[in-house]
Amino acid sequence: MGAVDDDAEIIAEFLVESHENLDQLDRDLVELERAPGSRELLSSIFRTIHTIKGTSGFLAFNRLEALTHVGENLLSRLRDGEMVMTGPVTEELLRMVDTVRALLDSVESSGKDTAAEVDVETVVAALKAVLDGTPGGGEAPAGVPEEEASAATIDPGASSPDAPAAAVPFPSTVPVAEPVLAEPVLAEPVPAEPVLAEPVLAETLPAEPVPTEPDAREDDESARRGVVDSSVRVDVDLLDSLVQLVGELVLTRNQVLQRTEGAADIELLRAAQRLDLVASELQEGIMKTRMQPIGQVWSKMPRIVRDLAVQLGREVDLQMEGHETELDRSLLEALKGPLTHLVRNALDHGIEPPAQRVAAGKPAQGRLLLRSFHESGQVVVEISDDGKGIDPEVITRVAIERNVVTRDQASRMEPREIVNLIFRPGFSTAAEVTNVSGRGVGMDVVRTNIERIGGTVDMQSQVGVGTTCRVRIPLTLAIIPALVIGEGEETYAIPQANLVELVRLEADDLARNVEEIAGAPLLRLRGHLLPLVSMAEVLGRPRPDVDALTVVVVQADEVRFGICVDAVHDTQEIVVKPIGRQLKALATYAGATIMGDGRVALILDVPGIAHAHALAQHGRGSAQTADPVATADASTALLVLEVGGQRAALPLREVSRLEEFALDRIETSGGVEAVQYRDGILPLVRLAGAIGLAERAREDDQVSVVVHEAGASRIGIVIDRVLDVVDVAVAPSEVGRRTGVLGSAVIGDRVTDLVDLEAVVRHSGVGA
Amino acid sequence: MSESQYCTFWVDGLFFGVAVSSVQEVLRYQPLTVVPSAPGAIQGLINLRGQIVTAVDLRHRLGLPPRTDGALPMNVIVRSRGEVVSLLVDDIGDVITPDAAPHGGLDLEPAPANVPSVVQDVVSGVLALPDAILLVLDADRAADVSVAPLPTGGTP
Repeated sequence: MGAVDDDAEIIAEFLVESHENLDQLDRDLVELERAPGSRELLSSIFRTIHTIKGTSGFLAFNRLEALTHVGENLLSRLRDGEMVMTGPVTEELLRMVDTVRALLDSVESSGKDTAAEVDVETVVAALKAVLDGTPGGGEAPAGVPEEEASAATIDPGASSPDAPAAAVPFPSTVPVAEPVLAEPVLAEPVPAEPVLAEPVLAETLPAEPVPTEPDAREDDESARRGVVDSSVRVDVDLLDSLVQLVGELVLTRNQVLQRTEGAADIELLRAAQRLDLVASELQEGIMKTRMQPIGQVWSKMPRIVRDLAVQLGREVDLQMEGHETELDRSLLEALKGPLTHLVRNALDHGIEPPAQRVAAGKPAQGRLLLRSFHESGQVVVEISDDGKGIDPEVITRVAIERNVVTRDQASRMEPREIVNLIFRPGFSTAAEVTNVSGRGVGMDVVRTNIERIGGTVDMQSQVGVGTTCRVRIPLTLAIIPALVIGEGEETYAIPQANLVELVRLEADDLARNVEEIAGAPLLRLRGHLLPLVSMAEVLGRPRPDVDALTVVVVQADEVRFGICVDAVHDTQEIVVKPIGRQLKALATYAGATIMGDGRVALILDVPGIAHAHALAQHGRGSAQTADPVATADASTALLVLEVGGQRAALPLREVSRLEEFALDRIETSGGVEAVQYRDGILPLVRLAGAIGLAERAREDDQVSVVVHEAGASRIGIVIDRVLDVVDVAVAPSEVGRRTGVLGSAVIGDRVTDLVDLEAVVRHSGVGA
Repeated sequence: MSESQYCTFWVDGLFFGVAVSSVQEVLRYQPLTVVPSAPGAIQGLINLRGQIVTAVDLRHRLGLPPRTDGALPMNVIVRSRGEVVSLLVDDIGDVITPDAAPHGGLDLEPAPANVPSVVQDVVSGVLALPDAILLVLDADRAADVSVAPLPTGGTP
């Protein structure tokens, strides 16, 4: 299905382009008659015909190709000054143009150029007669093939179908060389109706093509609107300015609607409703004009892949799905670079050389699959290969070498996170420069470019099996639906794309469902803990005390959290406008828009807020150290430790000391282990057992103990070892909740159990 | 060397001029939308016929005391680095042409050394007019208000 669609698309494009070119050609030819010496015009005409010839050869329109080939020969002679433009020559060329047009019409209606009513042969014969009878100078034999050769290099796509066709008519034209005689005949032909051309003209002119031509065209116009008639080329700037204007109209519409709300004038209300409807439809329509299928980018891929495959010595079977997936033109434009880079990367670093593939038990030919589809208001583009995959170990090593992460950080990362390290700045590869990828234009640039258009990119890979890179981008950026919220006197907009749900909590519900863990408010929502951030905090103000909460639950990347707002107004279509350079560095805002009352409202950048408040998981390392202001309010100091081979954390303020004891100091009293400690007895609790993990034997004869003090009594918590102390706002989840464990959270990029120290102590029976 | 015409205005008694070629328009007070957590000199955003314009308070920018209560600033809308920025000033003066009579042939001099550095930062020089000293403002530098970039980089 894909191939047929492709061809149809290419043919449609070819038709539109050719018709346009032919119109230009008509004008050029007439112009040329007036200024016969203009090489510029001749070159332009030659190029047009050459292009049509090339493409028709490529599309196997043989008659069209044969016709344009002869025309091209004639034109090349004219251009090189071997022949002079005369009335009859112009006539022949115009007839050729008409015939080309007729053939194109037949292609359009039937998909073939074999329509019997178009008499190609006579026109070809006439053109040949002009060529034969009016040969060029002595240099013709040398000059013409040279032309052919240079043409072939100009358009490599057309060169192969060119060759066989060129071989047939050329010999017949080239040897004819009667230089001296020809000149005068050609120079004075207009009034004299030269004998050479006349018979041919007389034969062809009144015969088939000309009379049938107009009829056919009239039929065309009445019967159907062809590809050419139904599409118009529009300047992109014009479209952009139309989008701008529609944006303004939408704003004005919002304004009008707001003013007419509750108005008594029925007619005005009706008009306002109509305006609303029309503006919405207009907006939709205009947005559609900017939508283009991703096939436009796809269509360039086979060539890129082929060239790269040859260059890199790979065998690649390229498959593409979802040509018709549409997205905004500007986004498509912005996507081209990153996609090309990802494809290159897949070939260079993904798919192995054939020998290596065979050795690995795979078919020699690698598979590269490009898919695109719509998913929940976004466009997803996937680039998958069945190559060697990305080895997390290699990535880890390289990332540590290049100081992208510390060894410590790397040791705590999931394989999937490690794979995505390749998108970090500084990872890309100066050492492994190949001609194809790794030229310093790294994957971090790919990610930056995709994020710039509001998209995300994610890499998944399995060693030996393949890699899938998934790019998500919004459909359009210019006008988006958004939730308008109020905070005090101010209004803000939250993009609907980030919106999950709205929750209102009052009195009892508030007390029951919102808890604070070390100052960080959390909402219990259907069994999940949702971190809350108040708008005041987002805006850098102190968090107010409230007796009711309106929570806007939002999602950014993988993080879900709640923003507490004063008031929720409504949802609106807003026009995203850029904000000045002075404000670009503020993570909180994605832009601004103009509300119905003409005032400016800021658009919140949900992923930015998640990052700034350390709710997002990735990039945590830098956030916690470099952004103390943003995290100070909500963060908790945690002692991260290893117990039973797993990661666990407990609040640092519960820890009074960290101790190491020699194993032989542990004594048992009434089934309870204890050590003598500071003139007293310190009862010990094995944390591994207390939270349901297996005890791990230490190689050295030491135990690590966290000393916890509650009132006057102390208790020692036995752990494997202390890993780290971190100061972060945790986003706890209920995963892993059990006796002694509150749940888990991602700390330092790893899932970590949150120890419920109170419960551990209570269940230990040692009575702290 | 010096521009031929200056749009003049006052900020806390200081007499400023900015080249008319970089001025788009001058407006009365416009309602502002505050931008929480923005740098202090950013007074807010205004809606200039559908375009969103950042308003930079020159008093704050120059380290001068805030306007007294009730005094509303005027907007000098300037083009700066491809954007449009509003400079909030106290009062608008005339457009003057120093090269023409009666001033004639004045040269732009560097700002005197004892002018506070925060003022020197945004001034490309001074013109000693017969009746006043005109501080010639560099609109680009005046509009550059640094935000310590957050290293979290969450903005797509």
